Amino acid sequence: MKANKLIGYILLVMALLSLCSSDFAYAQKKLIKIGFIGPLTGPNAGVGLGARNSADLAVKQANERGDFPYKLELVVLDDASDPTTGVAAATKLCTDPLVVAATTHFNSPVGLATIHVFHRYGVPQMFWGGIHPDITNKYNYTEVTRICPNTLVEHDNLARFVVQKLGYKDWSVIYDMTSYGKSCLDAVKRSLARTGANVLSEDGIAVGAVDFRPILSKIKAMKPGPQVVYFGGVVTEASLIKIQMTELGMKNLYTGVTGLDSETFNATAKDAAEGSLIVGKAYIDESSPFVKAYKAAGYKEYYEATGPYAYDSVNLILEAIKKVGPDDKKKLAQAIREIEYHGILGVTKIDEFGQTFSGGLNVKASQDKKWVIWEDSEYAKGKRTLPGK
Amino acid sequence: MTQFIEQIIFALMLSSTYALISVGFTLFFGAINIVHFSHGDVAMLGAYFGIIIYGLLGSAGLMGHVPPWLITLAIFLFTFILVGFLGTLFERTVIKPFRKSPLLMVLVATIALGIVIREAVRLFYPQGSNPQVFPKILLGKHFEIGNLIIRVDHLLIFLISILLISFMFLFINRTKTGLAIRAISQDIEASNLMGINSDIVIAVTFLIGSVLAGVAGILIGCYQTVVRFDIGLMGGIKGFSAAVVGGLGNFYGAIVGSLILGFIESLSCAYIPGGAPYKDVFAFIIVIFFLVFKPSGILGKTIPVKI
Repeated sequence: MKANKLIGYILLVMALLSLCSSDFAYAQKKLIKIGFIGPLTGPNAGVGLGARNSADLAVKQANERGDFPYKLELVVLDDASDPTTGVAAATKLCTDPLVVAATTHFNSPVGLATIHVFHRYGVPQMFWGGIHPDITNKYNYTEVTRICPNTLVEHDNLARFVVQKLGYKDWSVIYDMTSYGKSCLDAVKRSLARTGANVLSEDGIAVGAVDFRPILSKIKAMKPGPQVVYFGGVVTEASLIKIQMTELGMKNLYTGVTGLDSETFNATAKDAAEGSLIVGKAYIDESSPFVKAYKAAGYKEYYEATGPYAYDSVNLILEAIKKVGPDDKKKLAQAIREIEYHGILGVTKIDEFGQTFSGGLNVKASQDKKWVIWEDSEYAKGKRTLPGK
Repeated sequence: MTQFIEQIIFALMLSSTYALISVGFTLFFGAINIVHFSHGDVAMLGAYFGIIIYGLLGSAGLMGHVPPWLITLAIFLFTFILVGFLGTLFERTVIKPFRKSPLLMVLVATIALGIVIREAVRLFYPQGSNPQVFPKILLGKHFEIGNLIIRVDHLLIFLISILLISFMFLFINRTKTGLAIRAISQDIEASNLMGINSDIVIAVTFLIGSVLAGVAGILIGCYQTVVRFDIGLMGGIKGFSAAVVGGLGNFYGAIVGSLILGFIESLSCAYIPGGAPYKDVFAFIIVIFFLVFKPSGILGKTIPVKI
């Protein structure tokens, strides 16, 4: 009897102790899950892991702050940059009744396959990567939104700045023959037509080619000549084109979008890079709270360019959940589209196609072999002048 | 007009880099009847040695203290030695064992060697998959004639190519070793009987051919400003195609073939609307045309086989 009593007391004390522990507070909250899908293995594992860590950080912070009305769990799945794997992962997420929304995918082909799954199950899906316009614009599912800019948004920003603000009207377009380059071609033509600028020439190039002098010489000889040479493609070809333009003595403004936003451009083109202008990716200050928290959390991988998008997308979803609750997913999807969210990318607002307007894009100028945010550059301050006018 | 002259210059530049590689193909085919398919990759090695030696000289603290032309000379010299050594080594290890085997064996062996070279550079060079910036080792000045800009480094690339090819021509035709190479290409056993050490002569042939490829690599690097581990693949195919179009085994043929390829590529970019991505297609259509209708090439002779 005595032993039984003792055990009874011990159990009582343990129960009391467990009441006092912090876990108890969570135990009262309902558990909901946020899904994350991205390439955690394969060729794009770097960006995928950076995004996963950032999404994980957002969930952890919400749990730790304690003011979020639900206990959160991040469900992480791998799409390996492969549409089939992606669809399997999406189905697994959507069939879990606790998953209320998801942030997904770096690769557009994967995204183009999974939007139908999320639509069928009615689970809100926000893209932290994947820039193909069709993801949002083609079907315009209520559930599907995108926090990162697509090529259309990038080029609208470019045209607004270069044509409307700086007044460059005549453009020559060079693009690479990949699907990315071609989507850049379509987007730049659309944006230039909207702003009333003229496309004087279009030239495609093969990726991996190194000699663009014949094309450039042709552009140089055009009458009337262009003020702007635009390149839709990625960084290696971009820097070679700029080097060869300088060799030929061409004094056009050289522009592009995020495909050029890498310091490799400046390192390769060196002095020739000076005065190039791009619409570049979001710029996250090294001393910002996000970077500090990321480093403090001790993630092995760098947060990459994709991290901030994944981080903001989770926080945006959480804010929507706070507003309308997790139970009615239709309402939640609508709420995600209506929120004006202030995060580390600046203001995120979703348009009628589920796409952000700004996506944290920045105009950057190449100054002394570095990309410098336009507002901080000597070009904006009038100390240097851009070529091509 | 300015544009036309510019296009001609670009075509000549392209042709001269092709010619240096294609002359190597012709040399090997002429001397020992083999097609050395990793020859383009040897040229790529030349470009990478150029970058490495430039880096080493830089870290030895020589930049700024030594006149730049001396640096350039040193880069060329060391690349000569390294590529020449490797080229001869490849001959000894990969090509010589198949000397008495059917031609197909050497073909497969050299294609395999090319893959080994490429992948080795990709794996062992730091960030080997990425394009590497080639240092500016030639004079970067330029002068203007009206609207036309002529760059000194481009002029130098062109002159070095012409100089080397002429030097090689003289070597083959005017020296005793050259005579020995020509003798071996006629009949290897008969020339052995005449007291020619065919092993040494073939090694010398590979030394010269590889050094030329090494120079081609450096010049391609100077002209294109970046090099990548796989430039040798296309460079080799283009050089070989040029040799075929001109007539494999014929020295002038290699040069004519290179000019044809260079001009087709440059002019199709400039004057065929939307032609730029298809420049290689146009070039290789011409190659196929020659293979079908004139397999001996422009300057090659049809040799009747006696049975």
